[in-house]
Amino acid sequence: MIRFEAIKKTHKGNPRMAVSDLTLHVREGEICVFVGPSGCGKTTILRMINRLDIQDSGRVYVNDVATDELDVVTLRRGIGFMMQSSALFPHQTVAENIGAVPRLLGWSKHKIRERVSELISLVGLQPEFLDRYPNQLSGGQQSRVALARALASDPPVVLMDEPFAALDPVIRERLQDELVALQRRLHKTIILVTHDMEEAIRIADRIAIFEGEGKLVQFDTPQNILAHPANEFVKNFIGKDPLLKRLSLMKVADLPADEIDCTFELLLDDQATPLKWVSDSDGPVPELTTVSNNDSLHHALVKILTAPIGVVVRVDEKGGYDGCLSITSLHSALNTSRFGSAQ
Amino acid sequence: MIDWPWIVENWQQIAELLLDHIQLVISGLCIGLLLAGAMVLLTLWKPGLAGPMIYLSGILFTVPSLALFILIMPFTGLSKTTAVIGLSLYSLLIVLQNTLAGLSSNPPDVLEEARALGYTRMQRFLGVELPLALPSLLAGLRTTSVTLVGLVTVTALIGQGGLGQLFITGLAQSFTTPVAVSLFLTVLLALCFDFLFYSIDKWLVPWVR
Repeated sequence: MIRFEAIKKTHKGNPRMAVSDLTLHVREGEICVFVGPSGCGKTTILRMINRLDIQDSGRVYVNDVATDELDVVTLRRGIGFMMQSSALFPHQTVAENIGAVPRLLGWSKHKIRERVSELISLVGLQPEFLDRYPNQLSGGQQSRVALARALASDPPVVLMDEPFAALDPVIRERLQDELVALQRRLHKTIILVTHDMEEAIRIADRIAIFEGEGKLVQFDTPQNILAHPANEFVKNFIGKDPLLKRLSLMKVADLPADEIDCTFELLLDDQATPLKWVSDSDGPVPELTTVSNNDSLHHALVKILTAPIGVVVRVDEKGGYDGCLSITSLHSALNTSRFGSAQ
Repeated sequence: MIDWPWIVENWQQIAELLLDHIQLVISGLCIGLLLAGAMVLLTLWKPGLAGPMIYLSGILFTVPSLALFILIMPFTGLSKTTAVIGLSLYSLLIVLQNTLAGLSSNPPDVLEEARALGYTRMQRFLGVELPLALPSLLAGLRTTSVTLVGLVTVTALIGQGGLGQLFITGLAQSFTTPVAVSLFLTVLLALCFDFLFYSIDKWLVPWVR
């Protein structure tokens, strides 16, 4: 979808490379996150896609068309863009802000109005926000409007430059989740720049990690990067406890189900829903702990550690019994080749 | 103290002078605004001109008004043209300075976003930069109108001056009433202009920062 080929760039008056010989292919419909320390060139690279920055040599292709062959205004109108400060137009209402690109494209008033009301609910805001001005919105609401504006003309590609960096952590996480959910529905190709590795791990299909001078050091799935960091720089950048981060990316459903391996037996009702542990002897029976197949392994680990017998019972979406999980199963999951390098 | 019968007797002349006064203010304001507009457009084409323009208008503004009128007089005589040229020049300086300052303090991220969304240069200027600088522009017009109401009285010294002529009459005859009437009406006029632009601002700039 988006291809960088042999991109080089230096900034005026700076002998260091801003981008050094970058070749990268972002696939259609994926969330690709550019991550790296500040000043590593990731934002410059992002901005080359819609020619806000121009490379010294090499070419960028969007949908197999070199960007320098297109009229720059046409190129930009066909690509969604959202930056850190939501940068909404302060003199326009929410509705006018969202309708900005459709207006440039000359859509009819009626069509714009329909699209705007569709978008406002897509980003989770009430229609009464449409008549407000940006300064009447909270930071999170402004981000939502900026996202709606970026999506307005239904562009196949959306570029996001640290879109959530200025938000408080709770709102940020919620918006990250919503972005991922939105992307699964709309199948946009999203390129997002951040300096926050946690954010990258949370939302990316693939992460491109940049070192200084715009040097790409690793480009892979979050799982693979956590399991096999390419070098010391990546290892440091990932931070402490990469294992816990990997666990939070994996779901209980990713593991094969274990049989019960303990001295108690499980009582099920006729819907196969686990009720309680039972024992032949008269001794006390431990409390039952369950995890859902949709829970993360991180969550499951906590449950296992706090379960009285170190075993938790898995249930499927309908709440039916689906095997057990113990520390042994987690251990083997992390050490099998199944989660090893993909290439 | 105040000779009311004089006012009643001369109300027609007073009204004429008032109208004359308003006309001079509005002429100066409009021509100044047009010229400022043209110069702002010039800065779009050559952005480097904005700095020198602000600087130059700052310097020109320090020229005393009377001196300015006297400087223009050799070319246009004791005419309305002389008055209007001087008034327009002052209004140009204030409006231009305010507008350029407003444009240059527009949030850069918003302008960048407009660029990123595919606004052309003209669309960006008309659709984003100018509306955002509108409060500064209107503040400039507001200051200018009030300043011009005062300045017009000075042009009485070159034979124009609207209500300013009442000052001269009053002064020459040591007669307070025309001076008081003139004072009252100019202050009232200034307040009216002030309120007018305040209302326009409220109406055109509903997004308040």
